[in-house]
Amino acid sequence: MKLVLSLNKKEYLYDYVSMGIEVFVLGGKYSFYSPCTFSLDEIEKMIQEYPQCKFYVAINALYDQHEMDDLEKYIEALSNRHVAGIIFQDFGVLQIVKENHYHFDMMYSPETLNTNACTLNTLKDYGITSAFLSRVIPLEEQMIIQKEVCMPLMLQAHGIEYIAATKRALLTNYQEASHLSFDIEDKENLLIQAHQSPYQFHIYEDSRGTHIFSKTRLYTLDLLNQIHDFDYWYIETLMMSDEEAIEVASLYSDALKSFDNETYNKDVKEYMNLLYRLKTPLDRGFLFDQTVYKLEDMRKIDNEKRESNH
Amino acid sequence: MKNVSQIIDGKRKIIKKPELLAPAGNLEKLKTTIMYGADAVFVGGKEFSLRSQASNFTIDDIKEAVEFANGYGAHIHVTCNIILHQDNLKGIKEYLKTLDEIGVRAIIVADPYIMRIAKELKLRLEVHVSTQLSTLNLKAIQFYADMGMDRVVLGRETTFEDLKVIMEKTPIDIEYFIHGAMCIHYSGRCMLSNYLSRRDANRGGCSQSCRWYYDLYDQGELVNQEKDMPFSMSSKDMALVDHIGELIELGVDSFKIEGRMKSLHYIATVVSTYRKLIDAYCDNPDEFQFNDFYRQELNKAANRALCHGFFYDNPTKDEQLFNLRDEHPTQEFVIRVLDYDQEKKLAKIEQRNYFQLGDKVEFFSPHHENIVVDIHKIYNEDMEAIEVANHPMEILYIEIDYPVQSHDMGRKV
Ligand code: SF4
Repeated sequence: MKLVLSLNKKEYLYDYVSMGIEVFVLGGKYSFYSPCTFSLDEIEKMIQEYPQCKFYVAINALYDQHEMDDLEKYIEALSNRHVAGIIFQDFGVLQIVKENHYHFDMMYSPETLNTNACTLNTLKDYGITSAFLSRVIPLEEQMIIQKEVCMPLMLQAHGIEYIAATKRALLTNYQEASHLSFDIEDKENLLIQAHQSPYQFHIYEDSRGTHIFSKTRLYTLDLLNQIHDFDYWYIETLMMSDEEAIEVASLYSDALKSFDNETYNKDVKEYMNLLYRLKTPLDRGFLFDQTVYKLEDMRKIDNEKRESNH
Repeated sequence: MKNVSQIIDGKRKIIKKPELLAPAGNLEKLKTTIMYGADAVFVGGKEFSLRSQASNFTIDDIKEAVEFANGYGAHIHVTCNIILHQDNLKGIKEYLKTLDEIGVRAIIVADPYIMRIAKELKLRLEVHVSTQLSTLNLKAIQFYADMGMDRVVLGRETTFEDLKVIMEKTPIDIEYFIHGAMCIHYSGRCMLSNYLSRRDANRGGCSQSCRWYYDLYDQGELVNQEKDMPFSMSSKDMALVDHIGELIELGVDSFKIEGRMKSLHYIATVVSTYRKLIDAYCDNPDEFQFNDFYRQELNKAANRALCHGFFYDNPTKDEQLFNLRDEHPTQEFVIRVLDYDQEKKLAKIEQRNYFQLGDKVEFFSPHHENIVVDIHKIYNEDMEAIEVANHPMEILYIEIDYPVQSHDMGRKV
């Protein structure tokens, strides 16, 4: 298992590499969301300076037709710079790579759709070479998928979770309609909370639209015994301060080392204490939970909710 | 680019009419949808379909639907558009084979595993890529074409300018949304419902959490107080009624109306409006003049304000709903005609909502212009004169000079 990190600052690359992290996801011109956006020159330089590392570039939006010509040129430029892989969700991206016979690791990451083994094995025949599992399925199912899928799989280790995204400028539209004053540019400080719900979500706007993420950080630091067979363990640094990103990266890389040294079971308690000390909101996401969709199950949940409210 | 028109007897006519595809939540709605002019109807099966809350169709229902559609030269599409989880994998092959055997024209699919199975089974039915996959560009369309797919339902985010380019080069059929509700987020990529209600949006359990009211915080401070406009993520419904001609000229293969959960009145109104509009345009495209009648008709059935979605560009505040008060009541559907006695000038009807003597009722139908009638005589089944019709589904008779037809509908004006 390898730790993967979405790079939040190029100045910290040295520190992360010193911790033993070798795989990075870089934000670029066509990234849907990323903690930091790097130019082609910066990407090239990182690849040259750290030849032992594997760099993926996130081309993980859904693209409009009018963007495609330029996107194709961008992918060609990445190929010329020997980028190892692309994180994507639009099959148009995969099609470009296939038609041009580029040699990227094509990691399929549609946020919500990688939820069973048969579909991933089907897509392997159509060109995907690795996949990022959906976060909305329980750990048990993720482990079944891991056993049945014949390609490298990535699992989110830590960080905020994707909730939804739209091309629309929801915050601008709301501000114009309501005439309320709030700072749309303030990416990290806007939160929404549905009435009657305890959950808060980050919400921010950029040129690609509006993005919604959980406020809480999914954590799996204490689950290595169950998940060590996965190929990639991903840390999402979006919305993290520099200190938090460094601390989290260091904790997870230490945990991985101690797992390899067979001291993890002894050390994990201390790692968890250190994680709690960061005082960031933590969550298990859907790892030990199920969603429902059948009418009878939904009714049951609604009734339970009603009863617990009385 | 497909050739859409031809000069016939010195006049240009549209020879490539788009399919008008409409939804149905049950057999009654399905039959009405077809009688009111849909070329094809999409329904959800009990298995593998989103909208688990809609009254989905059993295999027997689908069989009946296909037989009924055949009588009108129409087709049935079945949605198999859930995103499969490990526990949904069983029974797909048998289900698809059954749909094929009973004559379903197409399945609408979001999961590539189902796409592949459908092709491996060498079924006659077509496989259409669901809008759940938010396909917005030609390269992605080519990807699905290489998988053997027959049609792509484009994501609702596709603008007209992008559609033009897509229609010039697409290797397979294109279906485009022209009317109905839209997800505010990218379809298939929204987990609001999963996180807020534990209901899986991608398997039909969506609780429409986007339409809830939200508090907005900036640096921990509440921005929207109770007196302020609530923050909500709700889109007005889309209606491209005034752009149908342009879409026909592009050669779009299928026009999709959305709304399997909508009422009989809504479906009948929307379908017949677009039917009349498409036929009028195709018959004489060069002299066609858009008439506001079409928009007014749609407004009679739509309870949410209408907009153009992404047709021009990114929707602004004017295409969003921030307040439930923005929803407005529709005209009330009160009568369904069962029969008409020409001699006695008596219509046998089914009561659908309260009406009484003196009410004005507008009758509409795919076969005639709308007519407004004063209700001046109502009889019960024993032919006793009554003043009010207040029992749902009661069989009644009304006197009416105009020869209405079976399946005509009446709404209070
Ligand atoms: S919550 Fe709204 S945007 Fe999200 S899937 Fe449901 S209806 Fe669509």
